[in-house]
Amino acid sequence: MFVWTPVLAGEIVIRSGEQMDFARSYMIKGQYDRAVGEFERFIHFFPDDPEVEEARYLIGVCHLKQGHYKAAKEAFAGVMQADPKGPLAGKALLMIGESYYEQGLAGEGEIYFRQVIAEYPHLKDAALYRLGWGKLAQNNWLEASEAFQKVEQGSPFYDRAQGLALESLKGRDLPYKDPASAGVLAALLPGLGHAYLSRYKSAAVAFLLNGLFAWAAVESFHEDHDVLGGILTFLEIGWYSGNIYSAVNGAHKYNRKVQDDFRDSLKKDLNLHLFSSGRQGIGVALTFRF
Amino acid sequence: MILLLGLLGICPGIPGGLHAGPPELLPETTREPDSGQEDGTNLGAWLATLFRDHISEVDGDRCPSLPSCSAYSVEVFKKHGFFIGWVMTVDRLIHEADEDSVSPLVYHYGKVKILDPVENNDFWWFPQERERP
Repeated sequence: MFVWTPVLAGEIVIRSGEQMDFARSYMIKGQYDRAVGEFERFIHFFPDDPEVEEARYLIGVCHLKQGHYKAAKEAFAGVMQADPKGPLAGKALLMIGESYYEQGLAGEGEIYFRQVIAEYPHLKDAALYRLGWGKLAQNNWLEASEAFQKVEQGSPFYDRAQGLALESLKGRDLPYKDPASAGVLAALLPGLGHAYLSRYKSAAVAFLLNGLFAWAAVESFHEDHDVLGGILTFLEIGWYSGNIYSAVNGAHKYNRKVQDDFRDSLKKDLNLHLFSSGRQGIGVALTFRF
Repeated sequence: MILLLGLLGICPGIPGGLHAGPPELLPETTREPDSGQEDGTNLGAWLATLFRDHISEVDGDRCPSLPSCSAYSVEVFKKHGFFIGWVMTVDRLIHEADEDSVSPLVYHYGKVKILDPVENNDFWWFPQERERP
């Protein structure tokens, strides 16, 4: 049946599909702020459209892409609350975990990955893979290896996960420096703790400063300048304590860098792609590259 | 303490040494941590502020690190109190010479700086603020 719809001059008619595609186009171009605005416009004008949940989900993705972690988590939580049994619930849960992981809160993300593993079998391998990376971020090398080993054969993550399961264990044998040893050496001789860390410039500064202040204090007392000697001794206590703290601190930072460099060397390849297969459904493509 | 603060003017070390990777570009609007109005009861922070506002101003910013040594000192005195603040200030002065071997380099207003905030030096014993799930 033909229906005549008059369009007055100055008016346009935007259909839901067009609005959704328009929002997606911004997302594809990486203009996530604008994409969020257009997805929200879609939700506002077409609240009963079947793609509303997808729009909410993609809002979360846009926020995540921009590093707006709190907003991303809220968007994904909204998707889950709107339809806990829906097709996007598991993916939204996974993405909440991903948001925590990207934020550097791997421990918190783990809670969500484990829930995905328990409740959404079709997303289990992706969650295990990310759980393994979360364990690596926390320097839990053995647990990371165990998580990677559980990725099932047939999963696109399998080959990479098997490699990571072996590589993760090397984290236990990294060339760490012992903070206690650094502190003891610094206490024995200012600068020696820094030399242990191969930080020779810092070692020289620590040695010279402590040496000068100690010598000055001794000379002051020797010359019967007790007040001056007392002041210099007080200051030297600060230099000496600072030297010890600096050596211990340096060892911790050295170990942190060794761990960071090791993780970087594993070349994180997981790429979480989200695509829409059109108005009929949503897909989450979890791809990775060598 | 005056001698100590005087030595805050010593900033040995030039960034750009052994750290892998090019410096990261910080937004130009990035400011140093706002030490704000100093609490008159925090002696260490007050003395460090005195140095920063009246002595460091004379010869300009020569510190290779971000935040600068004086700003770092103010912040650490406020965060950890007098004694630990003093110890960590001394640590900063000692380790600045080759800190680029373990800390990242960043661009800050067109200059390469070593990113070395207070959190970079107390992470292993002071619980960091974390968002709760």
